Amino acid sequence: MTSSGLSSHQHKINMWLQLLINGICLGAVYALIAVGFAIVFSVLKFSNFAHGGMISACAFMGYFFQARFKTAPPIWVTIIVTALCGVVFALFLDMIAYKSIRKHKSPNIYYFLASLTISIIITSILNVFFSKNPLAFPMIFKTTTFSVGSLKVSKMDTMILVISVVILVALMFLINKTKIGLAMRAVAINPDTSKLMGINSSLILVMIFSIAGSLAGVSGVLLGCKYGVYPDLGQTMMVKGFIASVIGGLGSLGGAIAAAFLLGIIEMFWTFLFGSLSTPVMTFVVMLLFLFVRPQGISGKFAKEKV
Amino acid sequence: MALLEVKDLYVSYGYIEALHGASMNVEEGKITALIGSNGAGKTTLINAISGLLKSKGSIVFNGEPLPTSSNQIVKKGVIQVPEGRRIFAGLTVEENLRLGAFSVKGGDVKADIQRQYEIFPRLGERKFQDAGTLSGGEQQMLAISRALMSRPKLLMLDEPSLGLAPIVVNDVFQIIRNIKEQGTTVLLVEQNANKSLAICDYCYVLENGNIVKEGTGKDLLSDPDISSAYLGKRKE
Repeated sequence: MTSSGLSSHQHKINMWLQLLINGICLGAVYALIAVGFAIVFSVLKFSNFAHGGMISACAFMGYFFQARFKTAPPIWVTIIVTALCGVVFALFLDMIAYKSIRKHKSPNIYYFLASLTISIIITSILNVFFSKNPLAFPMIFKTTTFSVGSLKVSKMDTMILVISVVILVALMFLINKTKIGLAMRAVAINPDTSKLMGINSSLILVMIFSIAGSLAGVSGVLLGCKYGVYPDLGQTMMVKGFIASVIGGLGSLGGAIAAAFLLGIIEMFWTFLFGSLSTPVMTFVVMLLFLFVRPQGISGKFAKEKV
Repeated sequence: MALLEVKDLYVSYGYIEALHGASMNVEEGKITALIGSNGAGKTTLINAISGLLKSKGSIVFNGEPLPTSSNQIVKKGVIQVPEGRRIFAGLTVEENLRLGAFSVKGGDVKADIQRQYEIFPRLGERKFQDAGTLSGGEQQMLAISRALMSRPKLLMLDEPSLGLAPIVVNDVFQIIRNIKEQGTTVLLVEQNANKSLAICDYCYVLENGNIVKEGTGKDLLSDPDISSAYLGKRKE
């Protein structure tokens, strides 16, 4: 009796571990989106909803880049190409929409409106040309999972996790350890005073948009690999990134990353215990709870803004 | 030839003109003061020099027209310590200093920071502290120290005594004197006319967007109009 009890106990632990691993992998994707969101918010103090549209557009670019070749190029080539597309795309959006807002020193609400409009336009355009049926990226791995002990881990998820973590670490290094990162943080606090330090604040803003664009590119490919490519992909996933960036504390990169992993893990467990239908309800309830109880988010940075 | 020559400078906020053709010179190695009451246009003038505001007229620095974009102006060595200090709260004291050195190409930033800690030991004690937690006086020291990190040729201070305790104000003016003795040219914008006139070599008085008077500190201190309007002394 004891032995069968132990094995069912072991079985349960395995199950939870499995869920935890899947949650972390899911969280990694959310983290990429949330950081793309948070980095723009930290500097311009608006939620860049265009990010969702960009993710969709980049996912399609990645898909067609892959599909062009008879034998698909390694995934990292696609990721780099798509990230570059994301940068070009972000610069284009900056040129047609954000630049004039900056030039006229309009209130940030215009950024918000512009980004929302852009996101809808992009998604609508994609909807004209493509069906809602997801296009599948070519298979990257011959077998889908590998085993660690008695656990089964998805190769795709692992790849996504590794790529996300590498990018997040590189980004945090850039922001926290380099001179240009320090300038970005300064512009986030006060663009005018940053100018008095000799920092080209407009250039820094363009760089921030470019970084966000490249993040949209990478998330587009990774999401495309995981869920297939369809016009609403970015919009759907952006909501998760948005929630994570709110829970993390708007504008805080570290907070957004932590919240994204938390969200991924909670979502996995919730789906397992109560089914996927109620998961979106739960995520928004969590966000509301945070807004009531701790509006400054996990990091607590936003509330600390200057007096 | 003066280090900085401002000639017929006009600045407008929309349809409202705030500066109506102001002209002034800042001599190399001297402290030049610009005094005036609230709303006279002092900050407008200094922000126009720093390139934060668009202006009409000529600003010549070191014999060359000053660039119009603020980051280029900083590279030329024209540095402003803004009103209200504007230190970067949320960043550490040391990060603030490193930002001050942003425009410095080459050079040993670490050694420069160390030098600032020798001048301002309080900053050294708090180097890893959030700059927003410093007291008003310490923040002013940090703002000045941050500006010195860029190795300025011309240091412009906008109301450095604003909101500080009298004893700290004395410290600030002593620091300004020291900066001049180290060979840096100073443009001091102040409401505290008494103290500014006492330490400056030359002074301009700005009223309603016009320079209405100029002279050495000594001359203006004994000027009856100035003493009644700015120094709280009655006309005899």
